[in-house]
Amino acid sequence: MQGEEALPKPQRIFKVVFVGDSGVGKSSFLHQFCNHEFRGNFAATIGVDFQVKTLETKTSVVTLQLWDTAGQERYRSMTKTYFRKADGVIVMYDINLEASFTNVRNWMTSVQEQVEPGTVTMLVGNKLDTAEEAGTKAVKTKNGQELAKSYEMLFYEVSAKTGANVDDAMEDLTRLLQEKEDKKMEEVLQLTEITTKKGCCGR
Amino acid sequence: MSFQGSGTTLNDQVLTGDNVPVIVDRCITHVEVHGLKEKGVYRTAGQSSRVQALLDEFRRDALSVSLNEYPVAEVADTLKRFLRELDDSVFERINYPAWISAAGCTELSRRLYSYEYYLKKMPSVHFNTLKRIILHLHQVAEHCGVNKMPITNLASCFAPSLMRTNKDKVHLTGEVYSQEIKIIIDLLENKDFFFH
Repeated sequence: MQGEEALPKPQRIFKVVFVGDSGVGKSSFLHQFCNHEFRGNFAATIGVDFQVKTLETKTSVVTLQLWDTAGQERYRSMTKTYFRKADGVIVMYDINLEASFTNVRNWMTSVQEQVEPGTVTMLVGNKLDTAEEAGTKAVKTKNGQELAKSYEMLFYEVSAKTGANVDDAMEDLTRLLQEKEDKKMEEVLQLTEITTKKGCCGR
Repeated sequence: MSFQGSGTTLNDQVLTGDNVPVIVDRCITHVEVHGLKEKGVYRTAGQSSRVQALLDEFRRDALSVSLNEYPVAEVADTLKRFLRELDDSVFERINYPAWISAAGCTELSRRLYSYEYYLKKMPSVHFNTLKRIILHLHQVAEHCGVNKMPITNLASCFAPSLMRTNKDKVHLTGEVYSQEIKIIIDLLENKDFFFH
């Protein structure tokens, strides 16, 4: 093939859904990631909202569709419809609020019921800044890590306020989303090859 | 005899002298005493399993529950879950479409008169429960400088517990949710008109 370098990088699109208890900072995290600022306006999200962020990686251009959901329980029926076709799910809790961490298991039950196997999941503990100021973490890093491990999730502790680890977390997630998709594509290719061969042999 | 009021409609509950379910009255009183200045009150969830346990205890015998040991977030969440899980919501399902369509009126005065009309048709326990809740939420909002829960936030967090459509399977749009919230905001901002 000629002029390979001149070809535009392939466009990838991934849908990522954010869930977690009300008030843990899902919208603030998204706002920090997309606009690099902290918006301390405390307004509760209604239903579902979404933002788009484009990242350029070494091999491709990635568009992330980021679906922000309301943490209020009643809106969960609505949230469920947004899990469909999700490539990634981020479950968030507040490091300073034990209950929001305990409730992660309930969120994971909903997630596992709805998403396809192989969906990339990430556990994010937010409000690291407050925890560091107070000098105590209600939810220890170790406990977060262990829970994430048991569900085979990525794990990060972040601060939507200062921006600490926000980009790192999202870049790691994006990398994994790409890897998974690459692998899936390879499998499809291999399958096609096998069927073609079989066809040739006339079996 | 269903003396203990273990049913799941508002009318089945043990009631106070003001015709409000004891569980509603006790949760609200607890928040009034301990939670008016708590940041994110009615938004922050309690630990789900503990909320369920408290709710079960209330359903067994609402009068003997001791709330002393419970954090505000759990009591507040219990109230919201109790309301959400009722067989019929505070705003009765059958009148849900009427309320939503009334909320669609752009003219405030027309909206208010429609609401008043529907409020008059509400069964007494439903009306008194709503009155208790709205007056309470208004009081919570008065402390929004500290608790960060102005009327709009409280309405967003509470509307889902007070309103239910008749058709659960229907995919509700964000627009309908905004109408639900608008109703609660209107009631809060005009509480003296409705609940004098």
